[in-house]
Amino acid sequence: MCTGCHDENDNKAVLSIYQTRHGVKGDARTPSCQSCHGDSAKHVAGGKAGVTGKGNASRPAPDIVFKGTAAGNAPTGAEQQAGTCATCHQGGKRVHWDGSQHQARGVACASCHAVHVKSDPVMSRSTQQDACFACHKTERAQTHRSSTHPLAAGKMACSDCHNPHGSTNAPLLKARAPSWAARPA
Amino acid sequence: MRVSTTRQHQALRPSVRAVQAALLAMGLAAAAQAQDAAVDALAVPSSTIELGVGTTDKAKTKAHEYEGLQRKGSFLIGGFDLRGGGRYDSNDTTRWHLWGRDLGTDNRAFGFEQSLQGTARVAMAYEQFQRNRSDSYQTPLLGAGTNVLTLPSSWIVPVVPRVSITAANARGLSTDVTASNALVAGVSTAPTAAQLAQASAMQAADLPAFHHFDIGTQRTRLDFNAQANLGPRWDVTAKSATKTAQAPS
Repeated sequence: MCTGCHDENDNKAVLSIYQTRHGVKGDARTPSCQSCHGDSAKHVAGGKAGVTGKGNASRPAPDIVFKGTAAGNAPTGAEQQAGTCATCHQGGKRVHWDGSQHQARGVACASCHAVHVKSDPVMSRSTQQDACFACHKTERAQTHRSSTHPLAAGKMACSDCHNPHGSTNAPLLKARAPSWAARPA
Repeated sequence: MRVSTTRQHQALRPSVRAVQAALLAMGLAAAAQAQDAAVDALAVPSSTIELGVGTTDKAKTKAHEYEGLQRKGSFLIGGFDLRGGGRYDSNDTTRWHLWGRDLGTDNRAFGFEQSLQGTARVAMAYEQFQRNRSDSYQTPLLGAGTNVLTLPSSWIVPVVPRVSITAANARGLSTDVTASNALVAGVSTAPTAAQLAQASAMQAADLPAFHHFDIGTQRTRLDFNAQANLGPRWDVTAKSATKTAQAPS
């Protein structure tokens, strides 16, 4: 139903999701478009006066929008987005999400993760930092000091030490740092 | 004034109609082929191979601290990302992935993963990571880079002769120090001929023992990972990681 309009000629390459784990049809856990974007009955029904077809700017947005649409629809609230993702992705590394710094500041899953692409940049050491440094600009500058962890060289990622999904250690460290460890200025 | 137009209708010859039909069929076939290719691009696992040659014009340790490009000269730019398995639009969940990057540098990495998505997965990865600290360091110690460090048999403990002939003093290896005045009991005192000869013999024995040694750490890591999904909320994972750290080769 969705790919009738959102096909390979769409202005947004949504079909790349089929090259990811989210698009493997043979896996019973694989979500459908509506599993994440909601039933979106109004979006399916069409725009004003029931006008259907592609490129109709009056067509209502899907129930859940993660990064905004080409028609200018704003993304859905971060809490609702996270609830959608948490339908499958809960526990494990995300057990401390609720109440974490990112959650409390309205950071949504789609703020960092890209699902409709062949390879999520956040899942690669060489490109993950681009997502983090979009907000953490001070840390970006610190990685250019003379003594630094090899983030710029792509040999380490922020998530090697930090858990952005939440942690009981400050600042979102995976493990508690020893008391004698040097703290950055 | 009357303007008249004349329309002339001519029946197309059968041969012309045949050519038109053939052209139309070719166009439709090309469009269908392009459509199939577009679908295949999304549905068939794709692979990439990267090959090339790079050069480093200067050996700069700090500039290439983490890149494995500390040596001057050419290096291979090698990488591959090979993927296979069932079509993404089929019910076949078989996936395999063979990858490698930076193969021509000291920071090479490669790995392999085989999975039945939703059922089981095995993976291995090898990664080599070198950090270069200094390429201008010199040491007289034998066995640099190992846990056993010894001085050469010809080593004479350096001293500053006119200050003390027994107290070890690294400044004794400097001709500027041993040839100049020093404070002896608060008095600026020039070295005697015997002290100069002692310093000269000591420096002749010790200074040639200094040799160049690149300071850095080369880490390797070999990971094995196996995972089996027991249900929607349960999975079993076995992991092993072997790490080494040694002086760079």
